[in-house]
Amino acid sequence: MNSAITKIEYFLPDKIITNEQLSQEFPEWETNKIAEKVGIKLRHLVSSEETATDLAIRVSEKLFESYDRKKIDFILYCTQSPDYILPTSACIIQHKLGLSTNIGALDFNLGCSGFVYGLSLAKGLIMAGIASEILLITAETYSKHLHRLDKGNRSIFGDGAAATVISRSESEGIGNFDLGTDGKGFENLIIKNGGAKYHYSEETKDITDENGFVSNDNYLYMNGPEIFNFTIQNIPLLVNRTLTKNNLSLETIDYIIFHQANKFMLDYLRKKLKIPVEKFYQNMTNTGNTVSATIPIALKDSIDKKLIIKGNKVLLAGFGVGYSWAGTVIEI
Amino acid sequence: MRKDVFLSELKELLEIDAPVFLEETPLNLTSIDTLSVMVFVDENFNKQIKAKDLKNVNSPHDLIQLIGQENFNH
Repeated sequence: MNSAITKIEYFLPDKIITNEQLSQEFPEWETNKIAEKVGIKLRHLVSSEETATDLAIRVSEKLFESYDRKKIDFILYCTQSPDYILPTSACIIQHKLGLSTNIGALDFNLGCSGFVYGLSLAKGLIMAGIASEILLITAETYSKHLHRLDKGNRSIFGDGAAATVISRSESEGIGNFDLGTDGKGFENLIIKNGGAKYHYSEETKDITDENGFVSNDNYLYMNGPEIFNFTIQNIPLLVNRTLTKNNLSLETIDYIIFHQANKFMLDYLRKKLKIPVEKFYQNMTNTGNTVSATIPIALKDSIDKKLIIKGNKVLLAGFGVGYSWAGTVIEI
Repeated sequence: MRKDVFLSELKELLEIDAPVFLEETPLNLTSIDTLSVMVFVDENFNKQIKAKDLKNVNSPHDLIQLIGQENFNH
């Protein structure tokens, strides 16, 4: 049984923080230089009362304006910002969306590779005859995990959500996957406290490094240079293996969408892989890095702008926290 | 790579205004500089250097040592 992406929507929360606002908070921060490097001018953030689950509901309701919700028979929900440790957020989402109780629903905890992993799970469920209309939601609110004084990560991350329907189809719209995992880098992108191993503690002290970056184990820590190193070592290999597994080459691929991490990283990966600019999506100017939502946001944006048209073969690659990475080729 | 070319490109990369830039010139790499240097080394020497090793780089000479003297000619 074949599968294909049949619908995508995304949603960004109303609140916005611009580089100018960040600059007022951090006068020593060379905002223009940062904006040039990371390619981000503003990010959307949830309010203190809003959560990733709320974004998941909003984006799904937007999608259901032109899609019959009764058809959904499985929910895959990707987030690292669940409302509760338990129950499963996908169960809450099923109820709030008024979906049938006769459906499957599960959460999975992945970051920037999450959308491509979600496609692989959806394809597997359809191939196995377990489901035929799957709602894949990727919703993230890293702003909840960022220390107020963490100017670096506050410059990069934005909140957002995407909802994608993967349906059983006549022709194959989702190709073969290349998946990767290397947990040796787990401490380079981590929220240490708040899980079962280390409890959240108000007494946890802030640590300021030699570059003036503040971290605290209650909040998200990212070792940017190590993540960058992981990326430049592994993602060119991921792209090549994904192409090989799909019997394609860079020349026969119509368009390429990577996880929109930051401009600096994407510029270098594109250059290293010798991908022509016109085949390479790059736009996080008004969203920031929305983690597992960047690829579907980019996909929807590319379809709307006709950068991708029916019949195009599009390579997707997600990579990040874990470390975890995934690539595939889709046909819209 | 020739060392004079390396020094000239490193100076430009790090936007250093000083008229004289030598192997012994003190360097204080910011986090953005760190990323730029990692790209520069990967691109020119096909070598991935660790961020934690770059923390000990206080001059172009230290960086040359990290990349490996064998990759340079005088």
